[in-house]
Amino acid sequence: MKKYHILYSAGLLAAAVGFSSCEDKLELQPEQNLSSETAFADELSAQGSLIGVYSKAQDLEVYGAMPQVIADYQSDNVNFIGSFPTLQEINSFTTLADNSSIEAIWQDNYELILAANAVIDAVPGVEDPGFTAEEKARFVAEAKFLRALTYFQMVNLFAEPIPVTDGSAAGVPLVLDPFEGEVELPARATVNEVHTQIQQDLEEALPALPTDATGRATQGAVQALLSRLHLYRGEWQQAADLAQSVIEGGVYSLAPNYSFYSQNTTEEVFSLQNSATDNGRTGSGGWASFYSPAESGGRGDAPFSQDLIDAYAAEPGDLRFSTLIEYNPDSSAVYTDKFSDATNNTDNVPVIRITEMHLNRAEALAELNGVNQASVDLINPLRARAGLPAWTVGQFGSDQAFIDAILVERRKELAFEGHRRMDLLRKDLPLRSSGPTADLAEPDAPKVILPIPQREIDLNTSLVQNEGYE
Amino acid sequence: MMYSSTNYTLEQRIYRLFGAGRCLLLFALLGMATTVLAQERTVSGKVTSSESGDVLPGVNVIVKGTTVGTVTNVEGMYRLSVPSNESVIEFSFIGFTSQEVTVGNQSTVNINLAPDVQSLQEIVVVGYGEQSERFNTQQISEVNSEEFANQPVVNVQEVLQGRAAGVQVFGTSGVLGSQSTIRIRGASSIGAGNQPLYVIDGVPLNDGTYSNTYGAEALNPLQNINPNEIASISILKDASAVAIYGSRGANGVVLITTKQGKNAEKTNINIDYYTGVSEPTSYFDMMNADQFREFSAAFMTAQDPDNPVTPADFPQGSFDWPGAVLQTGKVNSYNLSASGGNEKTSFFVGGTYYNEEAFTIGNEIDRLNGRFNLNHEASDKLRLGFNIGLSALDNDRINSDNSTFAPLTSAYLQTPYVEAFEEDGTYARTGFVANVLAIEDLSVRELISRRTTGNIFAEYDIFSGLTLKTSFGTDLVQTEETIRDPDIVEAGGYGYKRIIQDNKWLNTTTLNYAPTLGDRHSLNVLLGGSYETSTINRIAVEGSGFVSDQLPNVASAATPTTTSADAAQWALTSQFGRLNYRFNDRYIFEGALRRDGSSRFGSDNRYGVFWAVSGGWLLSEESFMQGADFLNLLKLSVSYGTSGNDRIGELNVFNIQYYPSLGLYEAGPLGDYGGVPGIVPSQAANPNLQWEETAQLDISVNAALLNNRLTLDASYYVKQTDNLLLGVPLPYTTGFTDINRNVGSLENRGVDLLLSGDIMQKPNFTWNASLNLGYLHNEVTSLPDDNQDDEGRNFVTGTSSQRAIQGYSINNFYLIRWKGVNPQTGDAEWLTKDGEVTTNPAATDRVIVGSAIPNWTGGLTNTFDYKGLELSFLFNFVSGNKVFRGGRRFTENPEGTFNKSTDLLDYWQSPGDEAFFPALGSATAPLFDQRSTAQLEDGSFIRLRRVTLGYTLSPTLLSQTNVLRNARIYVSGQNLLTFSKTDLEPELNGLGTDPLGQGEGFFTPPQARVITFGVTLGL
Repeated sequence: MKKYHILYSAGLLAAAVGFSSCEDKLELQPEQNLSSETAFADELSAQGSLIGVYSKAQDLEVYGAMPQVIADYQSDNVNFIGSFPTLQEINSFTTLADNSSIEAIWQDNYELILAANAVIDAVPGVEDPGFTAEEKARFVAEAKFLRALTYFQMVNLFAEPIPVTDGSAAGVPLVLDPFEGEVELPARATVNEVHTQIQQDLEEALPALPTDATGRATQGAVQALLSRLHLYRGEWQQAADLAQSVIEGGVYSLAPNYSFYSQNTTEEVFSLQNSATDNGRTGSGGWASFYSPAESGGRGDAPFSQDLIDAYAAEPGDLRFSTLIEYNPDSSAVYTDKFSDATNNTDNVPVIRITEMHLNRAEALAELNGVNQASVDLINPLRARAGLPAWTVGQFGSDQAFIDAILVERRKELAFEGHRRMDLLRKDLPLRSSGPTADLAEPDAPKVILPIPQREIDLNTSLVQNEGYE
Repeated sequence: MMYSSTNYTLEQRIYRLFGAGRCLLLFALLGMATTVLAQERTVSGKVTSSESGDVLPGVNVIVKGTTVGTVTNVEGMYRLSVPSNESVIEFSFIGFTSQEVTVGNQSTVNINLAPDVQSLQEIVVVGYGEQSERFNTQQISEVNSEEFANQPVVNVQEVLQGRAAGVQVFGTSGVLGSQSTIRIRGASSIGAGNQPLYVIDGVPLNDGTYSNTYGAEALNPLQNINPNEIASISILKDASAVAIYGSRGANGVVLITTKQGKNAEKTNINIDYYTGVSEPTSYFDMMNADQFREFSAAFMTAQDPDNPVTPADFPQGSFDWPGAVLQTGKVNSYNLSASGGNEKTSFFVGGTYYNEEAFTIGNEIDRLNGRFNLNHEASDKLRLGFNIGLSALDNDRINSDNSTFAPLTSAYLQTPYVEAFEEDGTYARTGFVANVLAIEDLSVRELISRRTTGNIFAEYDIFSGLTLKTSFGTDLVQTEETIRDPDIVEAGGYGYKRIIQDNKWLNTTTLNYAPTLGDRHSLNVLLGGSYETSTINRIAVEGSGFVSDQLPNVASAATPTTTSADAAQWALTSQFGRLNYRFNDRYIFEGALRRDGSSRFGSDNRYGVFWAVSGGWLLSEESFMQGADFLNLLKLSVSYGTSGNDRIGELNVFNIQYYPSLGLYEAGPLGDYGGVPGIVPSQAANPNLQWEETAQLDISVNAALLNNRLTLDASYYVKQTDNLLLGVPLPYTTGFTDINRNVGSLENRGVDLLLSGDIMQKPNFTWNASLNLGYLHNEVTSLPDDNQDDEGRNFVTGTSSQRAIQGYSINNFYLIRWKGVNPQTGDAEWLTKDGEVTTNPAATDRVIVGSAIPNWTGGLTNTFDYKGLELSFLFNFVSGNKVFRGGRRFTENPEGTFNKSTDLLDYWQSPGDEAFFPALGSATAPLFDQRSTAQLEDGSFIRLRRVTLGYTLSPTLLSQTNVLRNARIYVSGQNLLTFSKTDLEPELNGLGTDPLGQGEGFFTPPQARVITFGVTLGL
């Protein structure tokens, strides 16, 4: 009798323990997250991973205005009056290596690059019958475009510009593979090496991209970015030719007036599409937040500099001034109105406009051929839109005067869109030509370029700090 | 260990545990049942205890050698048919020596049963069972209900304060329902939490983050638990006690046993009511409007003599903000319960309504609790039962600490010339520091929490000594959090609602084998398995823009800014066992083993095995000790073993996920773009991630002397934790900020002491005293070298004021040293790293200036009883720690419009002055408030935690009423006296359970001083 009980109880216990050790009950998957494997399980998730790279570009520190605002106020377009000490440091060329805003720029841009690396690495191997080779190639191409755009921004912020060292200076670490657990300590590639990688990414991306896609990478966007790269490097013929390809591509054309901002017109070659629930809202700033006065809900940190007001005033009646500004009656400061929604930061980011291609080609042709009709023809539509009289070839006394005039047009067109800093540095010009900080703003002055964040120096012994920040 | 006497008697406890034995005996008898000739007649009688004279219900009365038997009833009476005069009746009752009586010709057999001295020992609740305290080798502190009955507390953790050696309890703040920090034998983790595992009647409780922080910390997840329902609390401390909880035992385990009825007992009804008032124990002394204007004018003028300022230059209003947010708190508690049972079934049923209004405006708690516990003997072999606790709690919350919406913070900082009301009596908009009177009057900040915790169980005796038990338990937590700010508080109005459900269920099945092996051997084997899983679901909506304050819900908002629903699940499967062997009642060996599998870890490290061995030696039983009559017990025990900590991946309020080892992508607003959903990488994979593991050695001595009147328990322990879970920083060029890794180790060593004695035992006067003491030394023994300070020491940053440093404790304050105001110059002076005086210190001058962890904590309880008049008090003390009061960086800032402490009025004026504040014109004056030891205070204190004066009416008087069984009235005080080196609250812990943020507060509301009056009636 006892024996039966023992068997019975042993059975019961075995059942109980067996029940409680059911091991597949431990195979739980996260519900708000996808594991790295499932992030590329099929076409839909692979597309999500690619879209995530675009989403990263919306971050405050990537194309959410922070680096672009710095580009305009560290140069002569903006009189920065914001209260963030870390941003004030950059403004006064007293930046330290532990500047937390700069650390965040470094962090978020590399987060985008690594997310893009994962797409580039994993998408070709996704096994999904409906996921065609063409679609895979397009996804990889879009990721390469975004990686190129981001590396370009990074090398512009953290490395000596081309004219100072001819591209031999330390750029930023080139990380081209996804992170898979092995921590590597990459050294800084040279500026030339980074540029070469950007060019390679873009050239590889070009054939796989569509000609038109709002808010996404297109052939035109790739050509435009390549044009900008060659322009920054002084490779005039390529810059001119690529700009021409975009202009003649038939997809993009000048908007008739300045109401195109955030409207997804043919003006925009590549713009980031922001919404009220996007990163701009969750971050602590955004384009309109920085640029709008307090009355419009912004921070009022970045009004026009007197230098820029004077530049517009030199040719009275410029619609780019009169129709695109807000006054603050209290301080009589002038603010740009290119970005209007300071509450939710829904303004799209004008990363590349067709206008820039006119300016690129006009400048490149002027560098190649001096004063020339083709350049004048490229600029005159911009002037007409701004309500200014057309140029004629005869009005320019010298080639240099012609080039300088094109650069002034470029400044007035692209002010507050993040171009000004590099447009000066690539020409070996000081960021500010007057005022108490002019001496500190020379192209080869130490704090004109940003420091490699101290945290990175500490964690990665291969990194060498920029001069003046050691 | 602690001698305990819960509100059921020892006999009843043993009965509950070993009641099975009677049935087993019956079973054995069944097997040898013989035919008996019928010459039956009836015998009856009464069974009483020879010691107390009380009647004994539930005694087994069996005709020896037959299956015939019965048990005594509530009055201790039995009636039995016996076959013949030669029949032998056997009376047996656990805890008493069995007696056999030959019937002879008696028709009435009254019996006095003598307590069995060997087994007459306290019972202590251990993991998955109970054990005799005398033969127990585990180190367990027990706190029983009498010690905290009718104490006005919201949090069950608070009742442990000062009650148990080696258990440090820090009340987070005076905010109702705020988190309590408990550390059992020290902090054994940096990144994975230090809170113990709480288990109620065998159900491990959910204790996630169920509420928003409101400037301080999320509320206590256990605030629904009703202290009135608790019979006893066992705190498992050493490895032999916690190993059976495996991967969740490293921080200690708190076992809560709820009240049960007793078999064969008439129904007792208990009524408790108390009412009380409360006030803050301390508060900042702030300037009034005139003082503010005068000081500010003098300061501004001294700093910039070219631009003199006069008091008349400031607005001329005046308002007493601190006075307006403080009030007299009120507490009321109504408790009604009934318990009892017949021979087969016992029950406890009870309900409590608790209401407390805090001493700060706008903070109130309503709590309703119900409990129904039932045990039933379905047959000789089968027992069934359930324990169910229900509760609903409504917490009208306030912000606190680092929030301008917090009543105290705002009242301290609001410029005293800013007035609360417009001339027409409506609330004024007061600018950056919001009008807290309007907030508390018009805004809603409410947390409703509903909780059902319980289990059903069945227990079956397979054969003598072998019992199978299975239990299904559940812990269902639902919280509903509402925020609604009207237009005056948040322009346009703001609404928020979040509902969280955290639902657990588990099954535990155990097989317990306790054979009878003769006098010299005793064996108890436990084998078991359990499966446990919990799923958390959260739904949140948020919106702004309301057309009217009359619309309370987010549905009326113009702009919905958040619509979110998320969920996560974890699961744990376990197999465990324990073997306890005792030889000759002198030598004890115990081994415990547990294997846990957790969904939280990657498949490479999903399973962990934890174990402990312990040995005990009762020296007092040895022949060579028999001469020492004064010594009733001398026991030496040693234990060593391991346990783990799996609490990772749930600390983040914003992203619930229990998957710290996986590489993850995150979806939602952070991943989408242009209307297309997307995902972004959010966590770096570490498939090798595993449990933190704590190994603990414990050496303990237990002694009882002088006829058990004096007892001493002493333990020495060393707890070594390895594989500390930390987020190790990665270069950003990996695309990630950090990665979860097992790196580092730390050690806690200490001594727990408990000394208690019956000092006076006179018929009309008794005096009991008990002293518990814990000494703790905490040291981080290894950390990753990613972060090194100037001295080359590895560290992990906690807050701006503290960090964990290798070679030191995990809670070091790391600050610039404040020297004082130079009496000659009037300048503020600090010390550099090298100890040189400086007027302009830098961050590099920071040094270790103390620890937030006390070296000594303890409590002293005294109880005097004179003819029913009882006085008891508990002093709780803490020593050797520092507290950082961050709010002083604001109240002692001479500049700006925030109000200032009256301490600043003591400023240096002429050479020789020993002033608090530097000369107003000194260049160092504006630096006075910089973070330094100027805001660091000594955290040591002695506090009269509780004092009670009560009178119990004499039982003889009550018996004449025929209604009342007992009656007691009492007056009780909490925190009436505090001795400390600071005038402000010394128990400062505003960051709550944050492992690296101990002993800091901003404007943390202080503990309440409460006086209650109560009455207890038994029917």
